[in-house]
Amino acid sequence: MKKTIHNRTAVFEFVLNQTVLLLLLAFIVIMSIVRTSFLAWWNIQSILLDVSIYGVVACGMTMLIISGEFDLSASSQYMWAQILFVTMLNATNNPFLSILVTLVSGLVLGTLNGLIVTKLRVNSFIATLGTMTMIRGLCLVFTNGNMVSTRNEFVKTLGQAQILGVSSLFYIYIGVLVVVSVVLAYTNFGRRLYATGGNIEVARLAGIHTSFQKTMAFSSMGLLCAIAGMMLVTMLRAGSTQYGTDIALTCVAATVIGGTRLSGGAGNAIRTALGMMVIVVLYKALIYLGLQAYYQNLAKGLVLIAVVVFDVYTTRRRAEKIGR
Amino acid sequence: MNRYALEMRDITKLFPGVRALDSVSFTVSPGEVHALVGENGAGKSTLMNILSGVFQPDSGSIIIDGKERVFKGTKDAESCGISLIHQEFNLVNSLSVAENIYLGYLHTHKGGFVDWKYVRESASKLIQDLGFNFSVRQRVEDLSIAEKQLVEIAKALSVNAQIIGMDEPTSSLTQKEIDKLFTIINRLREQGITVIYISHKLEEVFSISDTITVLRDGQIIDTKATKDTSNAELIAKMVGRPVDMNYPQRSSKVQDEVVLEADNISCASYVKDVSFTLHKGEILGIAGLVGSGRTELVEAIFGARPLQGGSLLVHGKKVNIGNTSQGKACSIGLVTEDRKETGLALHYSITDNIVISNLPRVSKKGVYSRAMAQKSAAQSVKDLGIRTPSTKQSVINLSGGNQQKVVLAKWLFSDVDILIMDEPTRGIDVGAKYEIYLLMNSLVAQGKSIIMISSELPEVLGMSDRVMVINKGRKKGELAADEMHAEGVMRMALL
Amino acid sequence: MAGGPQKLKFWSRITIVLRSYGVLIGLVLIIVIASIMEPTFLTANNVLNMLRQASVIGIVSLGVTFVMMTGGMDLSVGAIVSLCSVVAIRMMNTYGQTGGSSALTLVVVALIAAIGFLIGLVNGSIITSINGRLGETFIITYGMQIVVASLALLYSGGQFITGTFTDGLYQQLGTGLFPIFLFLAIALVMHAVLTYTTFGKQICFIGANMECARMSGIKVRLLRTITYGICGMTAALSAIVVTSRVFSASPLQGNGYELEAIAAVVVGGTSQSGGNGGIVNTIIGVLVLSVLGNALNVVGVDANAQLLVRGGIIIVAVALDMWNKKTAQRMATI
Repeated sequence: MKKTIHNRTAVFEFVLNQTVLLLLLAFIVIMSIVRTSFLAWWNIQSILLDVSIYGVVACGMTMLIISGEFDLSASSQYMWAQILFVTMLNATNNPFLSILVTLVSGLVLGTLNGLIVTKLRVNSFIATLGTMTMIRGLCLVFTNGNMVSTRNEFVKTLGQAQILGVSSLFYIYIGVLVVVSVVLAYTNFGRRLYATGGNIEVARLAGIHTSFQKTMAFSSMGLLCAIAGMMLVTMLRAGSTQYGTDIALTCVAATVIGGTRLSGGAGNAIRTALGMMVIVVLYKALIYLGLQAYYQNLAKGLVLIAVVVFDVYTTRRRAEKIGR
Repeated sequence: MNRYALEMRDITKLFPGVRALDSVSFTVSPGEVHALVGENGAGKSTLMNILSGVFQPDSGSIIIDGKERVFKGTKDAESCGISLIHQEFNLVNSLSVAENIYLGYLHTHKGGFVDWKYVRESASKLIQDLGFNFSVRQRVEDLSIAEKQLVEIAKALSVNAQIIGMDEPTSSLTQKEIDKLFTIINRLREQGITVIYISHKLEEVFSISDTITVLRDGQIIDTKATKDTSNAELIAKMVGRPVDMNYPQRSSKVQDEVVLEADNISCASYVKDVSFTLHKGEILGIAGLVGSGRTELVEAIFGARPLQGGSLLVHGKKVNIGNTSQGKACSIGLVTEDRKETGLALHYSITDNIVISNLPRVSKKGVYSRAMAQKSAAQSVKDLGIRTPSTKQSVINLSGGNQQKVVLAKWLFSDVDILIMDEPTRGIDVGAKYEIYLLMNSLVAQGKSIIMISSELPEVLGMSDRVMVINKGRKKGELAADEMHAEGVMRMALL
Repeated sequence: MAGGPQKLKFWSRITIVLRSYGVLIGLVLIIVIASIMEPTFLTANNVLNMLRQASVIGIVSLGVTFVMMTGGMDLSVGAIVSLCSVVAIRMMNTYGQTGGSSALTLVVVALIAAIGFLIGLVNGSIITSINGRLGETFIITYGMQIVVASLALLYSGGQFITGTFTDGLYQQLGTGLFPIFLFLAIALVMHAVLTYTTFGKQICFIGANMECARMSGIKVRLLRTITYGICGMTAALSAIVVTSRVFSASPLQGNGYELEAIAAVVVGGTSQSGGNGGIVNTIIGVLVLSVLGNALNVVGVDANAQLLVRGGIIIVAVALDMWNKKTAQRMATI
């Protein structure tokens, strides 16, 4: 008797899990019918590029959400990474040093976030709202709102490099995705993140240093934002405070669409990657349908709301089905 | 081997306002099943929490296998072979069975990567050793309560616990599951593992334990070999006074008028087709196992949960109660199970917690008057005997019994006719319990009606005019005054 | 542990004093330092200007206070200001060419307030229908922010709208002492509501323990939805004031208002956990941030650098608040 209920739940689970995939396929199919050029190679490349850069940050956001926290400062960290990287390149013309410095800066900022949340006990929304403001201020002070650009050759080559016709940035993303997925699924550190987000009291009683876990998650996020910022610079050979203002919440949306619960304790990076693809395909589709920018934004906002409502609804329905 | 597996000497633990444990000393021999009995609030859980490292004692010592130990946390206790299975499970619901067993410390390959195969196989073996066979890949949230308990036992075994404490392990189990649990306990005994079995269910204690220790009001009363004692002797020791004096006599009689009638009400998967009536001046007791749906039943009546089937009649009129505000409007009030979480705003004052249910009563022409509120609160405090220096005191500083009285005062302040009380005396010391019983009696004497959920059989039997037993969401039966006795109720609740 | 409790009491007292009055002390310090560095700081002109500016954000912050007291949040207020700005000016331009009719102003103000209220109700309905906790509330109101901001851009065609109407009353709403009066009036009304009405007391209780409020028969869903409506309405009123002052409307008018408002509420001491703080706290928070901003301006600090300061203050204020609560709790249990 119990077994059949479990089996039915397992099948239901499976179908629900694949909803994201199905959604994605549905979008693509519909769009390619509406505009055949949607499946054109250059469009796919464009989609993959967007997914790659945002996807890197989304990996970090997934880790954080799994551990039960949020990071709104991702947008500002992403901007800062761009600006720092370009500034370093222009100052030293040494790409490797610039990369190193930017990565370290990302780690530092991320760790700062983590410490504020765990040591000062500030709610992660407000804390990252605060750091977002501060880092944004930093960016503006540096650039005065202007774009900064570089002529560095290494960066140019990297940005234009293609393997099998797909941008190198995509491969960097795949690399990040693999690393994050492996960490989440196959390391004790990763599994402890799940425990921390799933039930922090139980995790503590089991001897897990939840503060350390959360701080590390924030640090990783910082690192990933730095990587994403640098990726953008290789693509555009420039950095600006204009790029990426919505990255934080887009990543949260991708995570939620991918099926990760906002309450923490579950989810994985691959699901988020799928969620991100859904979002990017959706956005591109809106552009393709000829919708003005304002209507696109309108749609984005509505999608975000719908996604959250749907997430809560399905989580609650599952809970009811099992009987708490 | 003459040494004790465990010795606790002069353990004292103080919480604000209450002396939970007072110089408790007792010993446990290796490989025995040692039962710890006592009423709610006697200190059993506190003692176990100290043993497992959750709390530190204010004084006294713990001696394991002849050596004195100090536990700064649960990990320390675990490394000495002590594992406690709490009533509320210490499991992460979103993770699998296997992962919960080895939470935080999963076995790894040489490279540092988790060896899932090993983890799953070891977990499976543990589960099978306990006589069960279900997939360890399942998420814990999908398991039944009995299965979750099993996972907890497996957890204890995975760290080679030599002393396993079980806190009220059978509160939500069917008889079959209880039998299986006892088989496991016997198996543990054979392996030389010591089991400390905390329960207030005396029949179980007699069937499974070797030794029984009685706790009352934070003190050890006696320790005896199970075969050397009897039910009556235990109850007498647990209660400390002759049994019939436990519950105040009632002078008022139940009236004929039906104030509440439930017809085939259902609520999601929790409550199925329950019907009953409540008369004026009556105390209707609801008995049943934890998790049988009693709380959900009363929440549905009050409006805290959506009612999905059937109908409710209050004073003969059909009512539609979709939210708690409507419930209150029908003169129904609910004293919740967990007063700290949902019964009180802990950082608010006594006054604020009382008057919130009827703000218009302390307002002059729509304007809230703090003076009136304080006055009313002071009156309530006096009427219910709440011990506090001032009504401005934050309720977090009150003892459990006084906190519960504040919750009661809140509902009395809005003058409801039908008061539902969910485990009204849980976690309250014996003296305050009696006072609450007296209050309940005076309420029904005034013509109010009470529905009381309780997991304490003596309480249900001692205070109710009638008892309704709920089993897995359904009404199993109803017992009138002359039919009420413990075995009858228990049988209905468990089978 | 004889020395323990006493030592704790001493430090906790200092902390509580620091926290309660620390912000005020900080305010005074800023004023003193700024006026020393730049004598024009304390001139009537500058002070009035500063207070007028403060009132614009202040009015929005009052509504946000209500929402945050019940444990919620509203990121869409800035966008509501934007939308209401362009709608208000466009309406005044369309119908206000006859000159001299105050009735039109009143009608427009009422209409705009209604629009703000309705948008707030939408927010509230969605959030309460899923019984949203903070995470969901955040994303939902952020989504609404995007939606409403897009509506503002669509309505105005992305264009800046200059005021061309001749009605006198509207123009007065943003000048002189009126904004300050409005701010204080709304603050007074809200404070009175929170302290002396059943509605207000219930709102505070919801913030203190939402589940307990529900279990005590309070209509939590309805009340929460109304608080969001009120929040939207204050944002709308702020839009009136600001468009009156600049006699124009930009579809990006309210950009960043939500962050400033939340910052003001948080710095003032109304905490995320709800039930604590209140209108007076927010007024202080608004003053502190406005005075700070103005002082930094007057002294010559870059607008961008100010962001650094603002972000830092938010964190410090909340950290202090958390620390204060912890010690207060520890004291209570001794």
